[in-house]
Amino acid sequence: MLVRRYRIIVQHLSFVILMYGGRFGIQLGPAVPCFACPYVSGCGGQCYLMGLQGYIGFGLTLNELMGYQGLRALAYFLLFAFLVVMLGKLWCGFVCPFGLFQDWITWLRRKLGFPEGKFSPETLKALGPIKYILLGWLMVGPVLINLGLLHSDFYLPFCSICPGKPILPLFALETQYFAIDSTNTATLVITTLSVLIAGGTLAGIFARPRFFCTFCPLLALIHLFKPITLPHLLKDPALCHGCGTCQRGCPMDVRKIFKDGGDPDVQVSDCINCGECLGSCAAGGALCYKYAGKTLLASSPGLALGKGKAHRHGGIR
Amino acid sequence: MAGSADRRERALSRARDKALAEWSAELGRLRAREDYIPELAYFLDLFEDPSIAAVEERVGMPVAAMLCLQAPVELFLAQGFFPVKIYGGSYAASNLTSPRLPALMCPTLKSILGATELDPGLMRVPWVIPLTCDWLARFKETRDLFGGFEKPVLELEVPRIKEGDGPKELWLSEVHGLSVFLKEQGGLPLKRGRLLESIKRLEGIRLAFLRLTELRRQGLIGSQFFSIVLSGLFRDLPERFQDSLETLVSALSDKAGKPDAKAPLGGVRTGGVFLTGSPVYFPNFKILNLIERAGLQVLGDDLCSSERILPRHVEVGDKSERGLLKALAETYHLGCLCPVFAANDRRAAIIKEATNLADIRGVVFHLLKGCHPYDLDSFMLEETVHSWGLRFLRIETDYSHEDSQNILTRLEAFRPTLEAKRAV
Repeated sequence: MLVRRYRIIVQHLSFVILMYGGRFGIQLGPAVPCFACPYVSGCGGQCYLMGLQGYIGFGLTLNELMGYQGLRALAYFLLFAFLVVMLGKLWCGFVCPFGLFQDWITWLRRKLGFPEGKFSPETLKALGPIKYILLGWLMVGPVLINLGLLHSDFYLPFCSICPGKPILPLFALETQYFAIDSTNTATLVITTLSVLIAGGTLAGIFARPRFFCTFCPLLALIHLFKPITLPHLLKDPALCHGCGTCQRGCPMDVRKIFKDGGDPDVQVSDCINCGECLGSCAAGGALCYKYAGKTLLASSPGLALGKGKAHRHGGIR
Repeated sequence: MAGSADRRERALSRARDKALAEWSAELGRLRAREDYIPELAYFLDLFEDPSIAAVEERVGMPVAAMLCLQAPVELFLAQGFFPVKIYGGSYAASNLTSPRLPALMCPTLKSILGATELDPGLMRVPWVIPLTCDWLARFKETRDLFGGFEKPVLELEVPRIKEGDGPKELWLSEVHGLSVFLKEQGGLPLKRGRLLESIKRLEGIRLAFLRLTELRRQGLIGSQFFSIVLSGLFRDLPERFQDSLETLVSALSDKAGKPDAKAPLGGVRTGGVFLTGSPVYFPNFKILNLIERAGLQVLGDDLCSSERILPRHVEVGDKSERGLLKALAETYHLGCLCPVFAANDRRAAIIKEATNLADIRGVVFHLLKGCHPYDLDSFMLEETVHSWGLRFLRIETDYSHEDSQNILTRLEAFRPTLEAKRAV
């Protein structure tokens, strides 16, 4: 499948840049809209979630908000917003290093022929809000610390439990984030929780593709920008054969893409814009990817079979 | 009793001769066409001997007879069986069984029943019958009128509702049952690697089909040749079939650059149409022949005997044994646009897609008498097609040639309406 081939190339290039870029003088800054983990020594960019927690946590006084810290926080937010508006969830499907790590595990499982785990629609629906709860927690936590209502060792509340923190540094041969810190009760709880979450995430990833993305607060944050992002995945229900291939190809098991609802907007909050649905759909023009209103790619039998061209009429008009 | 048996044997012998003459005449007519090219010879030769013994000898492996395309071809091949789709396009075979069957029964199934009488080899192989339409649901019992099956028959219950997980699970269990059946009939045990290989092989054929379809959209292959080429899928090993198909595609692609390339039958194409409705099986190419004689050209179809003969693509994500079976089961079931399914409004999508890609100005709905789901479907589809600004013509017929002139006249009258559409 052509889309998958190109995606794999982009993902690996992004992985090298975001994980090791700093060693070659590449630094994309602290507003990268994907899991470019700052705990990896020599990384080439930093996940915006860390900055977001840090900026929220510095203080709430007018002086602080209007001072250099406030302006810096605003600048980074604007940079993050710009990057999200330009590429939307392509950051998740094509750039995120933790996403690629999950795809590697899935590739390995498929090679070994282990069956894939699935969440029932009810479970998926129930799990959906968790990413928004985590997003809320990472924004409220620093405020609680600032107000003295939470122990300061809970600083960066999401990073301290994020599975990317112990896992991604392994690619720089750094194992220290798997250590349990028993300095005090707070650090003991946090580090134990972190290791447990990382272990659970690894098991989950082996069972189900892009397991962690279901809970990713960054995906939730990017989704909030949906009305103003330039890339959009759309469906023309009139051209859909209803074969369900799109849903089977979807690592996130997004059902709306297959359901016959007549709604062209199929980019739901779980969608990571990996393009697997579009690339596997053999109905000419049923799914298309638009950028700033212009069709970039549309589904076609040739594209699905891996050697053809994109649908020449461009799908939805 | 002996006299009755003799009479029966004589009737069978006469019908067999007529059926062979019918096949032979149709092949001769196709070979004599102006747009016949040597690369088509392989496909026409596959139909020279209609018997299942000829297929068995050609493929050199056990064969299983199959009705309807719901049963995944890949599964048969992975378990060491060659699936032979029984086409039922012979008028002579249909006539043989007609006196003992309802007048308004599907002529295709009459013909298939006739074929089971004419070809004793068909009774020596296991049968797989997906119960799609009502006629197929009673096919096994109907065959009992003529003596019953000699080998085991597997009937697959096809869920008519596609929405929801329940029907998916039901069909998956049926497909799993097919795998068990094939093993019991002496096939190989189901292995993940073999199934994956079989899926990849069919994907290669699908790609060649796609290229042939693209050439068809440009008017570079006549619908009768297109149809017989695709039907060859069930008459030879996939690797040989694919090689010949790719050779044909290359030859037709070369033809694309020549000045007379868009003139099948040496005529001038005046109206591109989309053919939908009941399947058209060799040697009964009556409707295809009449459409061409009327100066129209079929640039696309959604017949299960032609463009829908295989699902377009099997997407394999989960490569476990269950995952592969699930992918096959869902693709063959959910993607099928046969009117026997409830809520089948997505069937119009293929027509819409084809009209986006080719100069199609009208839709011809081919309805075989007795094919009630298609009959009902035609009325629903007519409205949709009209809403797109396309012309629509419903033709109800059977395998006899008595109505040919009448149909030709209607098609000839249909042609100027397409011209008028072009003027608009």
